Order: sequence, then structure tokens, then C-alpha cells
Amino acid sequence: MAHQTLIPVVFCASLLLMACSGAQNGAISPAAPVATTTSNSVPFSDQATPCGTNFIRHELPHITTGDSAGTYVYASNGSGLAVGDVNGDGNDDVIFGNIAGTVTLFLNDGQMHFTPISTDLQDVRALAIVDTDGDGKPEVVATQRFRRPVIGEFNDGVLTFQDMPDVYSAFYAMNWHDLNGDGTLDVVFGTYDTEQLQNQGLIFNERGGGGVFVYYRDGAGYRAERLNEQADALAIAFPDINHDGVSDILVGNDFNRRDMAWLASPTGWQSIEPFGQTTENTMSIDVADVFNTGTNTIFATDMKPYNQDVKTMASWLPAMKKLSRPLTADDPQYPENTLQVWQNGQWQNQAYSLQIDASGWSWSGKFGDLDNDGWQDLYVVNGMVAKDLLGYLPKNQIDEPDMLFVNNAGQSFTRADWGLSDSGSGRSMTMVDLNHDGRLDVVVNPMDGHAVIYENQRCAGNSIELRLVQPRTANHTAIGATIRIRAGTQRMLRTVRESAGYLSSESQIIHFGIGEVDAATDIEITWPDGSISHIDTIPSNTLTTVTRTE
Amino acid sequence: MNGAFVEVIIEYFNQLFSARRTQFATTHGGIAPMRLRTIFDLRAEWILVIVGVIVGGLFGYLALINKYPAWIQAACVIAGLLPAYSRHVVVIYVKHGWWSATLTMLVAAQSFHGVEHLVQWVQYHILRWPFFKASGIISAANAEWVHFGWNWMVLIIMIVLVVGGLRNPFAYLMIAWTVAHTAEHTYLMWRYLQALQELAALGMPEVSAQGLPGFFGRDGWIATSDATRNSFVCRLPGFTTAVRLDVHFWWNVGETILLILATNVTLRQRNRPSTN
Repeated sequence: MAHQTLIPVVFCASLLLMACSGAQNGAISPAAPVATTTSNSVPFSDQATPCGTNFIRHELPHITTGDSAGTYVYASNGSGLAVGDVNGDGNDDVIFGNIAGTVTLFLNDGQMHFTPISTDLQDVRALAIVDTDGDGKPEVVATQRFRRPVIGEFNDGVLTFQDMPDVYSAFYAMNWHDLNGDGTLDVVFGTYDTEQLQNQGLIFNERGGGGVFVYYRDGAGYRAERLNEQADALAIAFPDINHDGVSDILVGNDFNRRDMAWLASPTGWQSIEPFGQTTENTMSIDVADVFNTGTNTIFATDMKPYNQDVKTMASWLPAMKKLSRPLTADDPQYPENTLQVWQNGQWQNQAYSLQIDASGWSWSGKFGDLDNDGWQDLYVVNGMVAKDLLGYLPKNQIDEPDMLFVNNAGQSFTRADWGLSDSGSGRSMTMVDLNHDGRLDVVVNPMDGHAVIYENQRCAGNSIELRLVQPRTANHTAIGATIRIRAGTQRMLRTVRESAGYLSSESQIIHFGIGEVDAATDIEITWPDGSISHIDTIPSNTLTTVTRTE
Repeated sequence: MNGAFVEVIIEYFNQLFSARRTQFATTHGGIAPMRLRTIFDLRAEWILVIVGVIVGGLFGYLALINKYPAWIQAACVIAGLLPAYSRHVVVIYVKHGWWSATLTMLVAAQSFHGVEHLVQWVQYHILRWPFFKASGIISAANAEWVHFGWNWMVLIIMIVLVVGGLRNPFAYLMIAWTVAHTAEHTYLMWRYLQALQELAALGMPEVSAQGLPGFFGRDGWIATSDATRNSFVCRLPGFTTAVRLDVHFWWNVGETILLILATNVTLRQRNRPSTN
């Protein structure tokens, strides 16, 4: 493995020269302003970790519980998790939500040791660790089942929460992004109306109901724009749906409510239905360049048994009869995973042909290069427990192994174990390098089971990691930026995101597996404001911080 | 089934009714040869057809105003035509023997069954009805055991007909097609009964297991088996991608067409003047 010492590189002059000459790199659009940056690369600190064939499971002292009397539908949807550096020590910390129990923050020392910090926060759905106010220090944001969202600050070893300003509804899913290009982070919230109606009855509608809302940062508070009035939003993402270079809004809904999409346009958000086929009970959405084409695909999870044997089908049938509405021929919704691929100017679902349409009662499903071979693998956590819905089954649960699908150079997916096939009832899940060894670890917050970290100890290829910093804007971690690299013959694309999957936040450190090559080249960063910067080479097995200087 | 035994039975019935056939020929001045169109030609029974339509229509109307399901209304009208067709079959039986009568019944019934699947296809693809509603004309008959019983019956009758003389390439292809179709329905029935057992064991006997995938089509055995995963076979367009409704539509389209072709060829061969 190549090692690289600290290399401060100043690009201002060279980038300005490149922009003026217009001859250095054809990839830079003449219209795109050039961003000046500095970057430094440090080698991964934990190269001595032994490697083998599997991930190693570590249980954390946190259990998400639904109710003391047993877990019922809705509570059984579980709670989210978030990763991010809350204490500024350079390590991504992890926070796990809870329903009946309380939220727990685990401070990471970067060597797979975690210190729990208790809170008194309960009934949490989504969690985010994000710098909402642009002060350079991230806050913890949580949506709650029947209360308005809260924002927490971590000070002196204590995480304390207060109500989020200007936001009064109880929301479920959320995701953060600079949607109006003003350099501050906005947030999109979605309600979960079916649960709210069960809890509040029709008064929920009389009080104004729910829907999808954009909250634009406005000074110290927020200004709301309501996009629609009904939702069962379990996932929110910002893919570029029409490939115009601008992020749009995609909301995945549960319970046969169609997914919703809005295109960004000069006149405001334009509602569209971009997909010919969608999931029916959309549980999670991930946006990823699965085929190394430089174009993102959109993956959504739903409920479909992987095995179609009689025993499995019989255990699913009574629940699915209740939950799944029979389809008409022109209903785009199917109760199975979808992988939307942009081809010939339209989205086409290829999940069935790639055999990733079925991954059980799926919750968070995400792509990440878990073996650093240069291709992003798919991991889906699954399972269901509910006394009312699955009372006919032992322990009231559908018990199935979490599913890893290894990406075979973009041609197909093969199921593998790698120590990740736990049968716990997984809900939120994310992939993050917790010990700086250049390998993605997996974090899961299951229902009625211990929170788990799967430490990646597979012998793997090389990788690089990038952290983008915009110190002079309120969007410090450059959420919304895209990074393109070349690794050997492969072109790869990643996006800096706050959240992906199901109620799961993303690390702001971007990971690329690059296989056996010694360096990534032709690194192109498109910052959230559209300006572009280039780096010629990043040596393998380094964490590179790229900082905008203007 | 033992072929020699079947031939003995056929011979027995031929002898039994040869006297009536001779009597019929004497009375009517000869017997016209049977053709494919004879099977569907109900002109000779026009009075029964008209009466059947009126009576069946009346019962269908009564079913309508009494808010019985649409399939019962349709069944009333179809039942009204049964006397006319039954008499038609009896006449063929008397004129041409039981083999021809059996063939007539099979062609008519399979054609109706094919129409049922066509209607189901139209309901789903053209009218955009949901799966559970797109069940053809007699929707109550869209049950796993009915399909199972029907296909075994078609297979057995086809074997009898082939032994009795329905011998041409289309007939042999039809036999192969029907064997495969029946095998699929046997697999489906086996899964259905097992699923019902499992559901009963879970205390959910009221939940139906109707509609599980079979060998072919989307989510079928070939599409999901460990033996085929990650091979081109498990995502072969149509064979492992079509929904169950389409799979069985094409099964029955094939079966109906092959049966009609086989019948036509054999009847033409039989009607050809002898060159001796």
C-alpha cells in the first residue's frame, strides 16, 4: 500500500491558469466558474488492522424498543441513526434513535472504542448530524413521532435538545440540502399521515394535515414552503431527476401512496412522475453510481421475500394481504425493490433483471464499496416485528438475514455473507469508515435488538477518502457537491449528502474504493454553487481534505 | 394409461352405436363428413339456441337486478346455451361416433377456456383491472384446483383422442404442450396445498394462497431458483419475466391453437377420398 506524507498543495494559481488557457482539461466547462482550493492528504491511520474475509460484529449498549407491552405496527418502523463528528475530534461519532427508550450518542475515538452519552430524547424517527446554522459545528437534528423536530447541541459532554425554530409539525423523514443556492442548508420534511391519523384521528386533517415541506434557512430561523398536503414519507432524496445539473426532490411513500417528485425550475417546484415503475411501499432511497458510468442510479427498497419457498410465502401472505393493494395494469407501483437507471433519456427499472428486486422485508438499503474493488455493493437490512400485524408468527416477527449483494463489475450482483447476514430486525443503517482504515464499516440500528457496528476486516483493495470544506459559506461540509474521479479505467461519481437510505444519515467523508491502482486521478469537484475544482492525483489509502480558499 | 385397453373401449363404443349410425344414415340419406366448422356450427339447433339465449338472458337479468356478481349473470347466459350445444354433441355422437363427439367437446371447451384467458388478459391489460378482479368471465372458476383439474382432464382426453386417431404433428406437439402445462399446474397445486397447510398451522386458514408463481414467469421457480440465479435463464424475457396472468394466457393460446390445427388436419385426412 502506498503511503503518503502530509502534502499541502495550493491549486489557486494553476487552476486560474487552467481556466484562462482553457487547454488543460476539456472536462471544465467554459461556463463553470473555477473554485480555488487547497488540499492535503494524510495516510489512513489504521493500516495495521488485521484483515480476513469477514466483518466483525460489535454490539453497542443501545436497544431501540417499540413499547413495553410489545412492538406494534408504526412503532415497529423503528428509529434512525446518524453519523458525524459532534465533538470535533476528526472521528465520525454515531447517534442511535429510539422509540420507547432514549436516544444514545456514542463518541468514537477512531479506534473502534465508543463512549456512550445518554439523552432523555424519545420517540425519534430521523436523525441528522449536520451544521444547520453554518457556525462550523454540527448539531443533532431529530424528527419525532408526535412532536415537532428538535435540535441538539453537544457541549461539555452533554447533548441537550430544544425545539427547532419555525417548525411546528410532527415529521418523519428529513434530508438537508442547499435547495435555493443561497449557501445555507435547507431541509425537506415529510409527514407520515397514516400513523398521525391513527394517533390523532380526523383532527389531524382539521389541524392542517401533513405533506411534504421545504424549510428554507432564513436568518436564524426557517421559511416554509408546502409542496403537497399528504404524505407517508419514509425517505427523501435529492437526485438530479431530469439531468439538468440541478438537484430535484424525490419522496418515497409507504402504503401504496405513490412516490412524489418535484423538479427544480425557475418558477418553483414542478411536480412530476418520472418513473414507469416504482416501489409500492417505499422504505428507503439511495442515489448511487452503481455502474461507474458517471451517472447516478436511484435505488428504492420495498417488501418482497428473497426466497419464494412455501414456508416463507405462507408467513408473508397474511401480512401482505393487509398491506398490499392489488395492482391494476397501469399502476406503476410494485411491492419490490427498484433500481432506476437513466437510459435513452428516461428512467428504467432494472432491479428485477439484476436480481436485486427482492431482499426481504427491507428497510435501509444502500450502496457502498465494501471490498474496495472499485464497484459499489448493495447492503439491505430487513425484518419485521409487530404484535398486531404478525401475531400469527412465532415472536410476532418475520425473521430473515440481512442481505449483501456484491457488485460484479456492474454486470450482476451476487449474494454474499461476509459476516453481514444477521437476522436481527434491521431498520436504519449506514456505511462509514469509523477507524480510518480506508474500509467502510456498517452501522445498524435494529428494532428490539442491540445497535451493531460491523467492523470491516476484509482484505480489500485500495481506497481514497475525501472531506470537502467550504469555510466561508454556511454549508461548511459542501453538502450537495459531487466528486468525480478516475481510478485506472473506471470513472466514479459520489455526492456529498446528509442522508440516504431509511432514516440514516451519511458521513461527510466520501469513500472511493479504487481496487489495485495506486492513485486516483482527474479528480473533479463540483461544489454546491456550481463552481468546479480539479486535482490531478490523490495517492491511494489517504484521506484528503479539500478546502475552498475564496 | 394402457393404449390397448383404450382401443378396446373405443371399439366397444363404436360397435355399440354403429347400428344407430346406420339407421341415421338410412333415414337422412347419408352422413355429411365432419369438418372443423361442424364443431361450432349450431345452425341446426337454432330453436334451442334462441330459447336458450332468451331463458339464459332472463335468468342473467334476474341475477343482475338481484345484484348477484357479474360472473353469475354471465354464467346464466352461458348455461342457456348448454342445451343447444349438448344436443349438437349428441347429434355428432350419433352421426360420427363417440371419438368425434369427444373431440367436439374438447375443442369447444378448450376454445371457451382460451376465451376466458383472453377476456382475463383484456381485463388486465386493456381495461386495467387489478389482478384479483381480472378473472375472466366465470371468475369463480379462477381457482387453483379448477385449473389443476381442467388441465389433467385435457391431458387425459388428448391421450385418448390420439390413441383413437388424432395423429399428426400438431397433435403430438399439443400433447407435449399439455404435458408441460399440466406439470406447471401440478406444481402450482402442490405449492397451493402446502401453503394452505402452512397457513393452517399458523392459525390463518382463512387466508388464500391462490396466485403463487409456478415454474415459469416473474418470480417463478426458474426465475428464483438457486440453480439459475445469475444465469441468463432466470431473466429470459417472457419465460421468467411475464406475470402469471400472461404466462397462463400464452399457455392456453398455444393449447387452443394446436388443438384446432390438429383437429383440422385429422378431419381433413379422414374426409379425403380413398385412392384405393
